[in-house]
Amino acid sequence: MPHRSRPQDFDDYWRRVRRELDETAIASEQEHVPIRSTEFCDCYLVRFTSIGPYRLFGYLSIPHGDGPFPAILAGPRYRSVVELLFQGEANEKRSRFVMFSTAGRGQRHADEPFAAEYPGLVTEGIDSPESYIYRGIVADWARAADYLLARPEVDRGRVTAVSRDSLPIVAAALRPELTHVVAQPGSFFQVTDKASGELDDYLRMFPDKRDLVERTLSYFDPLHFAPAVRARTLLWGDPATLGPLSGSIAGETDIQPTDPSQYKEGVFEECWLSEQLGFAEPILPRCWQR
Amino acid sequence: MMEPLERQRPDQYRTVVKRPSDFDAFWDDLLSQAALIPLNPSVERVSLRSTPEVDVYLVHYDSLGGVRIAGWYCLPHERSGKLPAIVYMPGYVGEPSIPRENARNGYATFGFIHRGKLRSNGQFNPGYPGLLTHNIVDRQTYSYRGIYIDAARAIDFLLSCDDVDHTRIGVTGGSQGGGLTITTAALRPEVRAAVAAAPFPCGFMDAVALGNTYPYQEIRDYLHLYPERRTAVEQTLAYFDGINFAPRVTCPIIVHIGLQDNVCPAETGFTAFQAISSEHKQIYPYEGHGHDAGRVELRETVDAFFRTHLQA
Repeated sequence: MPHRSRPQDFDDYWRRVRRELDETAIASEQEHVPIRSTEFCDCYLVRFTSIGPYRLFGYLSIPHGDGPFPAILAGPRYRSVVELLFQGEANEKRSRFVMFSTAGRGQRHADEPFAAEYPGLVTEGIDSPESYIYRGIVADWARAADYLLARPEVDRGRVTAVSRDSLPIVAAALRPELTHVVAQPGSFFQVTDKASGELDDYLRMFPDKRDLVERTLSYFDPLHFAPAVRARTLLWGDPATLGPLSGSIAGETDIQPTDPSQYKEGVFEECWLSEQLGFAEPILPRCWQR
Repeated sequence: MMEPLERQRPDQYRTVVKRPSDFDAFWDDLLSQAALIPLNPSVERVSLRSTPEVDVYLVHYDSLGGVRIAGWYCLPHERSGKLPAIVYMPGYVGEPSIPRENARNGYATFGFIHRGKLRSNGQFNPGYPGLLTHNIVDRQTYSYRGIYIDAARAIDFLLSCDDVDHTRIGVTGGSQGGGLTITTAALRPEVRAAVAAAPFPCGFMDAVALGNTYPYQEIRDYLHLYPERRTAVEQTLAYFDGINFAPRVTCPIIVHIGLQDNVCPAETGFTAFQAISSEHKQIYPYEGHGHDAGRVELRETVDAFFRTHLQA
């Protein structure tokens, strides 16, 4: 995985983001959602504020019973829709974990005043690190972590950031209270193949902006965040490619090669999470229990 | 909580889905209504997404209820004569991609975006989760009534294009895209070849009983809150179940599924396949695979299938 040079003002850039977060009241509100609540959990719509200020959205599930409970944070992803639970995950996971699935700026329920385009999000404001949309989206991840970590139901010793991109790594660097990370670094700062396609489109249209784009993206390379990541980490991807990143993460790190079978990947990830968070057995979808 | 059904061999599963006696009349009537709506297509070239090999256009057209539908239309930059075409049907929550790859291979391609999705949600926007149960007790206003017609009218869009050979149109997709592949092949005889992966929705109520994951979980959530509406829900869904569309599919078709699919239980894919009328149908069940339905392994077979049926 080609990495970009670390900007000299990398720390200052992210220090300013953290300061903006500190100076922005989170102003959260929760609304119970009966239709997404069950006999084993309650579900809430959550609204809270990130830098800008910008109002964000999330689905929060809290298990019934005596907590505190381990928690899973699914922050903003590259898609317009925010899911209560990732498609294909057993609904009963919500009986074990506090689960917080959030929309970043631009996604549904957080799309006013900015409605993201797909494709289009990855190059939004990319000519400058100050205007780049992912400066805000990274802050949105951190702000979601702030909300979750403040919940009394959450066991602060077991809080996992999960997404199949590199953003959990970045979030864990900004918020070292996150104890576990599951991420899939891919291309550039490493979102998805679609994202890479967006960059190709942009640079084909504006070839003279390549240096600007490279400079902006250098502030988002997970390699530069890695030394600040103390979380126990699972990286999905090619071990040879991910070697430098894995070696730079301060916390203990596993690399698991991706597999064309979503079943095999899913079982591995659920087992890894369960083991790390202290459970003998994972909670699997019924169709995987045969 | 509803108890899960006992698991058995998925190819021997017996669905709970019943086909309403007026199923065909319901859809033929809707198609007739839709045929009266002018398509009003607009086609705008998108320079940012076009490449030296592929021209990309953002398309809009009118569908049922006057809802404006979007899509990505791709053409090989170097082209001559009429082209075979493939419609790419979208999944439930993912973003429809711009289907440039097969445009490079000589097809006109169309990445269809149904109502409720970004770029087609100006007039209809139930959200996610929620789309699957929007007006679920009324077949005349249920969300998928419009969505299936939107998909069928993607064929009308291609028929309006001078670059497309009207006798060589295929459809494909995975998950909800697989279900829309089946419904569109069922509703539009112009479809000459189809490839459906892990089709959704097929066997709504089967999946509700067999699984515990979203998106079908939306129906389970709904019935948990409103158990007294179960009969009305079942009556509505029978008109929208891919299994009930399958007998109308007569074109060559591939269905591929993962036997450990945690989103669309394998039983539902087998049942839909068994109900397809086509004499040229093939199923590829993948052991050890989930909702990916073995698409990486099957890619070359799918490419060859479309070459045979659309480029010959």
